[in-house]
Amino acid sequence: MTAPVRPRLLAGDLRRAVRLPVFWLLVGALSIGAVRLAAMVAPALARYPVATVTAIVLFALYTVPFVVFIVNLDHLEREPPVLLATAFAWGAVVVTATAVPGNLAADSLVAKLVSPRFAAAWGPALVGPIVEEILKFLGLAVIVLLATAQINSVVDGMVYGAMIGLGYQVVENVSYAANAVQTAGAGDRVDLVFSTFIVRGVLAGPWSHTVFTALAGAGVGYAVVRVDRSRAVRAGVVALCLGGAWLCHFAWNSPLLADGFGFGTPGQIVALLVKGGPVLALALVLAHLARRREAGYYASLLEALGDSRVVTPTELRAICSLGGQAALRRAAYARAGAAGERAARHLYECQARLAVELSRGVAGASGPSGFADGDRLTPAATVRVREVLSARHALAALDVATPGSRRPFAGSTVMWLIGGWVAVVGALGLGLMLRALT
Amino acid sequence: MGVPHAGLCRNALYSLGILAVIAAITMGLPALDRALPRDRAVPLGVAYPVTDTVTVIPPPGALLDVSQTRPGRDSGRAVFLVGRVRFAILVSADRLTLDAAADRLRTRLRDGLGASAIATDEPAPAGARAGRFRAGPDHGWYAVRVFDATTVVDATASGPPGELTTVLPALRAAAASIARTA
Repeated sequence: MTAPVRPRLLAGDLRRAVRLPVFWLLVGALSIGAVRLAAMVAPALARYPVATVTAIVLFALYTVPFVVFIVNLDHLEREPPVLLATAFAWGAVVVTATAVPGNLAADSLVAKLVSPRFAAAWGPALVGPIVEEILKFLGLAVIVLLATAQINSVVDGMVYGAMIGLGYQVVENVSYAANAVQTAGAGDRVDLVFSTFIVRGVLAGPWSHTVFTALAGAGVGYAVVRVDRSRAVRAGVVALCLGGAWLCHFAWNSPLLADGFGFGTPGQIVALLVKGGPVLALALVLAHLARRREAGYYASLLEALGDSRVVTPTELRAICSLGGQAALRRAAYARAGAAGERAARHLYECQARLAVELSRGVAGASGPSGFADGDRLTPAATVRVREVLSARHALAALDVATPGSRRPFAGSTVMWLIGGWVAVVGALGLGLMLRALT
Repeated sequence: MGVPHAGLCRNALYSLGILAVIAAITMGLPALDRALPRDRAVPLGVAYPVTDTVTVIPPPGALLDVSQTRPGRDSGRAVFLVGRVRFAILVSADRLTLDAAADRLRTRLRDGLGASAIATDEPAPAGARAGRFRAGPDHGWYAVRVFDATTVVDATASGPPGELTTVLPALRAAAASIARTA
């Protein structure tokens, strides 16, 4: 079996990163980008303080469910927060600061080389994807060069790509809100910020930069992980995914369906769904397939231990299935209430950490067994096994101690957050449609 | 744990590559854009379509600034250069009264250009508002028209005071030529 994940040893990663030229490139790009971004935001903040601050706060809150969803894409092996923040900052600061002059110049070039009318219609579709997708892709390259060890699977590439795209998407939306206020020429008004939030955040947000760059990230993840494939194949997959991201972005920005099938605003909302829906579906299916493959690999490592105290056959099946662990947590909740659910969650987290540690043993082992010499666990994996056993004992103790505690399963915080976000988004979208129809 | 020399070199090489792409986008593209001429001659006396329905007859001797001009279906803009005077026509599909449209333009001039001393007492034909302003060392002139209460046309001109005074009659005539076809 070809490993779909490729963990590395992590010792000394931070100290190692500081010695890398790319680290200083990142520091320089973030510093210069921050200064330029501040120069862009400062005039809007001075002229329209209430509207600009409202936009910043609104889109900062908007970011939260996205981050929660992205981080939970790879629930088996969470990415280090500092690297996720770096990816977000690259999108928010570096891409924004560099895309603005690049987009303006490229759009002007299109007008000069073809015609102003062509640039007005097709400039955003041609220029935006070329400049922005390249700049966001460079962020992925920086993450790979900085911490290759952290790109262990295709899902990891998607996670970092999504974070870069999200950073850019959020700052771009804030700038659109500020522009809307200025264009209206009606002073420091927040209603335009809210309408920008609905249009760009709610209606256009779910299938925007976050998804585009996640697609490109899948290619990068593949190229880093699948070292068993030739350079040409890996480069081809990277090009295919980057091209796919570009194509999705192009289709989104293109004037196609801009008239909303001739049905005004409701038609335009349907056109947004037609343009964006397939892109989001593609990214989610890709993430699901990659995650399932990754989970299968981790499950095989746990299974190879042959110890049912560490992982039971039911738990192995749950690792590999969509929502399998949630079902087991619900069962634990039914048996022992919220404490049971928490204990079950802790057990599965311990199992995931053990699986990742075992896979590091695989990466570091010279033999085919998958574990360190002579099928013996590495010291770190041994510690993880102890954690799993301790967590299982805690869960078993709760099962005995609180057998009568039965309440309906309330769901996880993540599910509540995402559910709440969907409800708010749905209500806002519905409100906008009703407003357009009446 | 140290980083092998070869790894450092490869990392430096890739980093330089990333830096080169960023430089190409942030500096190369603008340089290339500046290297190409932005002004194009427009036929004398021929109406230029700012949108599918709104046209303007450019002032004599005007050159079209293609880097700023973006004609559209319902909204668009056209920018002409008359010497060092910049003459811009902005069309937007907005439901505004003439007074509200004039207020909006004055706010935009103040917030966008940093215009000051905005006067509203310029003579204007029926159905239009006009005025003067100052933006730094430049003087400016503006006019606003609203067609059918659905299409707002802003015309603004700015440039060195002497040159603006010279070409202002031609600009007024161009603004008066703005027409909306069905």
